Amino acid sequence: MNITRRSFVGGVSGLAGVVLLPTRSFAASEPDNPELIPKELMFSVVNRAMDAANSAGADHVEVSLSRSLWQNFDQPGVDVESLKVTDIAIVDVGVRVMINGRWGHASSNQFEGDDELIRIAKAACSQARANSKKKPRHMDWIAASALVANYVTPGIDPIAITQEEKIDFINSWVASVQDYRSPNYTPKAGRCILTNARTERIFVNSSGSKLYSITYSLECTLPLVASMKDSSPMTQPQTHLCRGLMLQQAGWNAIRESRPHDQIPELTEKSALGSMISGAPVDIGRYDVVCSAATSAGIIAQSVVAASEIDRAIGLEANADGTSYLGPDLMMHLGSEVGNEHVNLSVNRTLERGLATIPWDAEGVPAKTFELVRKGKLVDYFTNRELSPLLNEWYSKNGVSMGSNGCSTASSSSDFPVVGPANIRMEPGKEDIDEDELISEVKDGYLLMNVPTATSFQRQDGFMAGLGRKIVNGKLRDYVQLGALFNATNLLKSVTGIGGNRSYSVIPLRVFKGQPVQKLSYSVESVPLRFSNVAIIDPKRKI
Amino acid sequence: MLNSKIKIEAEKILSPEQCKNIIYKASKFISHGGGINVGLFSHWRGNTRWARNEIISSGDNRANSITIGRDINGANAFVTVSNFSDGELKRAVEIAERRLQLKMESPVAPAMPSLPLERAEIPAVWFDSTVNLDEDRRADIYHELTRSIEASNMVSAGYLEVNASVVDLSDRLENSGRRNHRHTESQLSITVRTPDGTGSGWAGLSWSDWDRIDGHKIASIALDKCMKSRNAVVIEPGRYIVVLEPQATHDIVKPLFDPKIMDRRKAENPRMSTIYTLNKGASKIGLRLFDSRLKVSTDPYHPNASYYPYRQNGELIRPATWVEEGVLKELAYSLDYGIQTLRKNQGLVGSRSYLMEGIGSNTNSSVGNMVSNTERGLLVTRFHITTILDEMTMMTSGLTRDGLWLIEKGKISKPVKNLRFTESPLFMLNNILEYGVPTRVFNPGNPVMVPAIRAQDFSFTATADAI
Repeated sequence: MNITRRSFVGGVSGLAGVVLLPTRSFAASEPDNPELIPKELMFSVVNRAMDAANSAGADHVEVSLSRSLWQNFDQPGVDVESLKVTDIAIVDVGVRVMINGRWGHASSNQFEGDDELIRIAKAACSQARANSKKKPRHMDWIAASALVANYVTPGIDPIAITQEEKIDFINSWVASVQDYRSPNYTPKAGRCILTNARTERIFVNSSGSKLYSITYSLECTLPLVASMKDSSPMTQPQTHLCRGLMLQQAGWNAIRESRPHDQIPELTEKSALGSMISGAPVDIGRYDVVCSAATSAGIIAQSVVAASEIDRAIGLEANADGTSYLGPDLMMHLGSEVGNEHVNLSVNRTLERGLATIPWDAEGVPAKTFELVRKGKLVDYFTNRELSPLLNEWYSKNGVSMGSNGCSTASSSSDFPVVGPANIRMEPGKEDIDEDELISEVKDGYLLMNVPTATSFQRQDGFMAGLGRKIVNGKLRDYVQLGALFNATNLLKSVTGIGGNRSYSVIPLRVFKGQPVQKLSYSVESVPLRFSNVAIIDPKRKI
Repeated sequence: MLNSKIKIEAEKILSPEQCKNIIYKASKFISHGGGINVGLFSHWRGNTRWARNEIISSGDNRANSITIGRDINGANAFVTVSNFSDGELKRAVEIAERRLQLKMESPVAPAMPSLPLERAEIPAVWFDSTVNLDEDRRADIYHELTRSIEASNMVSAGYLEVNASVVDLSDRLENSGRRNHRHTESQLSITVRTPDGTGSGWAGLSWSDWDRIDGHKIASIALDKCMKSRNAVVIEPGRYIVVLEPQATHDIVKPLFDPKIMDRRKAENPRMSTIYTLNKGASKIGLRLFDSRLKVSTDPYHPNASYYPYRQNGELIRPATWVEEGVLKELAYSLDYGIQTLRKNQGLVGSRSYLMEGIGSNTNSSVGNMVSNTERGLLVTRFHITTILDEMTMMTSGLTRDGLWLIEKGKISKPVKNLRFTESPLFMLNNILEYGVPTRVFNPGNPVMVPAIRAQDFSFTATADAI
């Protein structure tokens, strides 16, 4: 569990005399990178917890231990304000046990010494016993084989990079934006935020699995906002972010390989032109709509992907985020059309820099690449060990091997695993076309740029509101604020065009799930889509 | 009782003595000048979750951490660690001080005057009833509450959580600055659905004191709503008189009273605009923005909505009246804004906890009376997934959920399918016909009391298939 405890704002100083610390030192300094915890030490800790849980009578035990180091550099652009830096280092261990078919879970980030490990293990068993006392059950799940493996995110450990290099990266962007000269536009750097993290994790379970991983994550927000010179003060410039630096599982080399400065001219123009938002209301009605890769990712993720989480589909999230339009009768929905033949979605844990990339899931089940939607038909759900037997009939009929498809996930070692998506891949169209070519075939419609999607608590009724552009005879025209309403199945059945390989973008997504709530992350390989007959609305218009 | 309380505290969260020792250990490693803040956080959580009438899981989670904040001339850095060994604490201090070596000093930000951490009386926010609710008792509660639901052939899902926290804040002046305070929180929510998914009801409540949550009443309400929501029919979107149960009132108005929106610095910033901005550089304080009977306030010492009166950074939350007689009286501001801009000697910190009430005519009506007074309208249980479309008007879109009924000629006539609304809480709070008596609602972590409301001209813009 990541605990953020920041915001000691303002000076509450307890000393009368203040010693001035030196200002910026450009000299390279030693990184304050703590060494990795020896793997053997981590395994000895989890094995002690495992032994304690077995001794306390558990039928099945899983132990997860992790250390996460997280850094955040927050610089408010060109304004002369103070940089805020936050470092967080959390070590936690979680024990999940099953007794008489019922789960119990306990976790702690304080386990120096065997006493606490034993306490955690016993606490987990106590939870499970309490749950099974009046209503034990038989857990009908397929035995898992032992998996022994290691995984390290390819690339340079970002925690090992000096703070000076990180600040220099941010400041060079700010300086480049300030120095950029354009005859028509005035650009300005916005608030820059760089976040990077490293997590070492060990997992063991009763099946004999022993898994060790070191994962990195990076995210850098480099915003630019530009206005036309001599523009009216009433125009509202649009902020644009540098591409390629969105949240990803990657080492520091991703930063070194990025070339954000090359994007400055393009972002400046886009931002300034984006300020020319038409004051005219959008013409409501039904139109052909082209959605950018980012918008398309949001539509897919919020609708059919979320609805295909098996726990949600059968009603286990009913008291939380909701249920699913693809449930509760799973057999009824498998094989049904959730889109047209252009919609092909598959799931993996192998995407380079994917947020859910790792060769196993939170239960130690080996990662699997599988189809979720084939030619518009739902052919699987995201499953875990406990719930995958619900699909045995379907798997048997279709010659698919039974068992979890490796979609158990947890935000941290302290969290109880839930079913969550791994990385999603939207199959591109056969023709290698891009967004511009999808637009060129629209006589009268709209382009939805990075427009967020919200769906109902059953994930079928969709609502979008944000910035778009009018398309007339294949050409982009005015910017407008608009919205769209859709039924997920009807929308995905109305796909008339799909971007090709060269239009791919990888979109990171964070979703919230469960009680208590966890933050889950995965990536979507997305292409732009064109839909027909979409209901375009003025989102702020009341009846 | 006191001894058992200390024993429980020692087991689940850090004791005051333990906190003091850890902070003392950390402060030994601080060597340079500048400002220091040390915050120690200790948290325990117990929970039980069920769905489809079966327990899914229950858990016991403990997490402690220390945050060391260092600042000098406006530059600041924070390091949080969960390991309290000497080596780790020393490293944390060293990292914080190394971060300060980056160019961060602000020539325009004057140093804040040294002010000791403010002390205040702590209301009753710790309850043994909450801390003592162990897994066995939680499992028993689940069985008790779901018995009648299962007997009615309905399907329930629910979540019960209890937690306890201690916050210990300190600066260098250990003797005058230390505060060590503990509080508890509990929540229970239940959803009941028909097996075929054609009906759904919900109820929930959160409180520091578990004994104030009547689980049977919550289960009964959720079951009743589920039974009465079956076979819902479609009605046309349009403008309706609405009777909003208290939960629905909170769901739609809460953004208006969120500290991030009720921020005086933002409202008065010439480069920003919020709903509370009058024009560049001036806020709407002093203007009547709402129904003249409306009062909105926050009070950590309210007998039915008390809360821990400090933010995590140590700022004191004082009782404040935000709206009175419909007039915006105040907006929240930080200590530095208060001193530097408003020439006051303290801040007025905002809180997510608030009390909303109507004072004057038609302000103590029951939901039943509101229904009786409605010729044609809709009774709403709660709202879901609200999206703010425009921050200047707070125009919001979302859905009704877990119970929506048509009112005709003063009676509930039939359940109806959920609707999408597009409405501004600001406009709604100017169209109020009647208020109810404020009651606690489900809002874990931040006590809220709001009334049921009957309002006119509420805009529903589309039907929804979701049940």
